[in-house]
Amino acid sequence: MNQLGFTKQVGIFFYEVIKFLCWLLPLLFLLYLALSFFLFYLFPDFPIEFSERTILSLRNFDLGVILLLMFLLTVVGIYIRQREKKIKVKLLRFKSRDELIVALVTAFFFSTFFIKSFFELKKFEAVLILFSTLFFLALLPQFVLFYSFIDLNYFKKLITDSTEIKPNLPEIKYLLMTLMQLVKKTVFELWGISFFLFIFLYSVWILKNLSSFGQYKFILIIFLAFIWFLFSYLVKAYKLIKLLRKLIRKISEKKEYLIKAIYFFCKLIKAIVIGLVVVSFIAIIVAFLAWQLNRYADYQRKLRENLTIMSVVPVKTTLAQKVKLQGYNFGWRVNKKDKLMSNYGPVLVDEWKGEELIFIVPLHWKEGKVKLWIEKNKDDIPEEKLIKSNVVTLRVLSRWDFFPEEEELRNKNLLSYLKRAVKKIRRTLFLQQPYFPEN
Amino acid sequence: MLSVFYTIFLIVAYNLTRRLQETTLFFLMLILFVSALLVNFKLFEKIVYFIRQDIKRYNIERLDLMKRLILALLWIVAVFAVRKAGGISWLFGVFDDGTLLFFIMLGFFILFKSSSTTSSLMSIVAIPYTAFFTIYKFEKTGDLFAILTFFLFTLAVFQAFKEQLFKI
Repeated sequence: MNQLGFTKQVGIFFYEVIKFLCWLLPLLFLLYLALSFFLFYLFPDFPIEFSERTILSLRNFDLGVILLLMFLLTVVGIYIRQREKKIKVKLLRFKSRDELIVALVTAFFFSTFFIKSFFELKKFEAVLILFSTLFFLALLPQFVLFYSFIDLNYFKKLITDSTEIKPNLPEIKYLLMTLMQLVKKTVFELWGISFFLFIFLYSVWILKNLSSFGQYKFILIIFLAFIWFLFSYLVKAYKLIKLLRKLIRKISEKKEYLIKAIYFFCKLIKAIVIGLVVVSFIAIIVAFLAWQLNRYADYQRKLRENLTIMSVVPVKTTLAQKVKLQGYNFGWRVNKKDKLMSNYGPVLVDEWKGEELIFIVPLHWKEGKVKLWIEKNKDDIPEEKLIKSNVVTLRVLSRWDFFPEEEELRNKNLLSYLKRAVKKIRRTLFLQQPYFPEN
Repeated sequence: MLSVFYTIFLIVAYNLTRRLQETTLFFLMLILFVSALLVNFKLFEKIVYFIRQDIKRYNIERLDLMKRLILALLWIVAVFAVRKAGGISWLFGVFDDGTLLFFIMLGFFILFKSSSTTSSLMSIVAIPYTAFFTIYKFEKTGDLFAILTFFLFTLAVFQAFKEQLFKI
């Protein structure tokens, strides 16, 4: 095979692996998720910590993102199969009313989950859910069709290599039986030959040292004669050479079968090796992704169990503007020593909630990066250990990056209008966030 | 006669494992013991037989069966995910865990067109589990299986009504 042919083969291999993973990964993830949920609810007295620490501890947003990724993979898989004309995309392909009902409710549940996880809407939530339900209802039958069938022809071909001539099974069976018989006979005949040699050598040794046996020499000769008689009777020594000849002839007759057997076993070993390589390659990818997913979920759980600031909204602001810190375990401010700290010392907090802190950027802060963290007393007792959150950064920009200067307000030329417009956009983007509580 | 001996062996073996009562392994032992008892009394075999009969009655082909299984899997994921996200509170807000599990099973019953016999047999399977979990102080799991038993029986009754009415 030339280099171009080899590159093409490798390309096809990776294409097939990706196609296979588009089917395998979503299905595995769905199975794993369903099983984890099911066991979690079915046996509350026997919690499976691994699932609870990993997949079940994912935030709704993260779970939504992963599910969307899996669905995206499925769509890619459907596209590939449709291009290969192995699947036909048809809207609402339901054979029975039951399937339609279950699919409709499933689509409604999925859409509710995604809308609730990704958006914080009040007014248009119902409309969005309705539209996404219809979207999922159109997708679900394609998903079901895609998951219920897998094309493994390429891997089968790769392993068995159908272009070569394969020995058929009855031939192999006959060959193996002949081989077994040959082995059996050979072992028996080898035993006969070695026993013959032993008796022969023993007899020669006795005859050589006959004078040293004294009065027992006649008994020994009778004993040897008896052994020779017994051997001739049992092993049929006269047939020995005949049998050996036959064996050699048989082996030469079965030469063709022997070659076939060697060929068959070589092919078998080759198929096993290729199969193992393919399976290991896919298993490594799946295991790596599962490991990363579980690691991420575990990391998320640890964040949720500790005092953690997850986000600063907005990340860029200016003096005298409201800033919101979001995270976990802020608790209620029951201890006076609980405070929000910065490079410039403690910060006055306007609202302190379980998962949210709101403060106004003090006027004495300078432009540049400001580090923020929370210091909290454990168990609300002043003597207890002080716990600190992670440090986040807030970027304080100049007030004139957001608001027009006096000169810009005074001038009525195009440039000043443009500058004011840019600052207006900046204010809208960074400062006037719609979720700030109104005073 | 053989099943009687097996039952005796099972009970003897189980009584030995009761020494592990304080460990989490005991929970698994209990599940295994009850499952083995039910296998011994051929209850699982009968359920499988009736499920096959249901499938045969409605001529569900193999590929169609696979599709329904996949749809059932998606149904499980959708129900649990939406419950996790706190969506559809008017429905899931009033569900306890047992009712939620029954709701999950309902998807399977609809998709695989279960008959009243299958449902009632499944509720019969749930009874010994309820009993053993309650006896050995696995209160939450015991309650869960009790709720499941109740719902499965109720479903079986409704299905029987339907079968009588429409002469299925």
